[in-house]
Amino acid sequence: MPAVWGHRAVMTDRWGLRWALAVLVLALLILGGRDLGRRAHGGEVTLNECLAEGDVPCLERRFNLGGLRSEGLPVDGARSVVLVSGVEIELHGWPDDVPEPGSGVVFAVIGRYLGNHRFAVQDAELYPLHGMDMVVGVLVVGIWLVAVLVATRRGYDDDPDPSEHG
Amino acid sequence: MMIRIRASMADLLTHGLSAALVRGGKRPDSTLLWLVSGVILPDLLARAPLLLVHGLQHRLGWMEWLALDDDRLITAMGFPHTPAGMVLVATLIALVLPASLTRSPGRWRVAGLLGGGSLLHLLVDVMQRHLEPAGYYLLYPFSVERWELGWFRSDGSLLALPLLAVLWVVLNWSWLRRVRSG
Repeated sequence: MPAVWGHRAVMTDRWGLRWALAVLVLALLILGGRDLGRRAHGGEVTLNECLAEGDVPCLERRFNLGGLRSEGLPVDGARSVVLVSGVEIELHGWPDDVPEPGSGVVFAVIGRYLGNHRFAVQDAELYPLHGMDMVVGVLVVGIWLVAVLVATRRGYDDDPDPSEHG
Repeated sequence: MMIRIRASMADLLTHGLSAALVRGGKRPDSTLLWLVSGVILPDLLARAPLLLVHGLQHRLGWMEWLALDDDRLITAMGFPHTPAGMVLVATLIALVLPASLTRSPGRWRVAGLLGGGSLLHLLVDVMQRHLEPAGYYLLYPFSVERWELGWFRSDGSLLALPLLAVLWVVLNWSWLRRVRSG
């Protein structure tokens, strides 16, 4: 039913079909998100969720802690980590083939939980350009918003390139 | 040393340039604007809210009632970053936009460009590498298995920016030169 779209959208508006479809799609988005969250984590337990059950069930289990950011220098070989939930744990050991994270560097670690809020690091990856990534992202969104505003106010400037028509 | 959790977001300039490169040497027009909008949408909808809320929680102490340590919630918010979610978001936006904005290209075309841009975003993201278990839910809702090619770090795309920018200039040199010469 392509005629209902595009140039003849008025017809769609009259019958409310466009808005009915929008509500249906929005409902699918919400249901899809809920289902993805439920299914993607069926059986997979995060460190936060595990610690909520207590220390013992998490012992020697393997976890992935992503998006960590160092804000100081190592003290006595151990690093203090605050998870989003406010839980503080200590990272012990560091892989020889991965450079030590300097202050402000974002990184991720995989390792085993040792108990008493201590975590043995088995693998790690640094993301030293993460900060620049964020700045570039904000800049691009800003430029995009300006472009959308200009296009909305002035209309599209879709004059064809003269060279394409000889 | 104090360490805090931060969410990760891909480099949006590389994504934007990928959309421009797909169009070859054509001058920027409304098609490119819709395509770039599609390229930006997945991160804007799935990543930016997490970064914003997390920033508010840790910098200002606001919105602490929202449990961002809940991985189910974080994964659910990532639905617009899946192919199925992208198609739904593109369709929803094309449906709710006023007719004045969609009259020229038409709603189907707007939905197609937004969806195509979003899928292009995912194509670039899939090339990234994260510590496992990581990757993208490419086949959701049929599977929740994750895939990625692992060709470069998630922040490594920034290193390719100069090359992509030069490539864009070369492809578009013809009309850029005419604009410059007036």
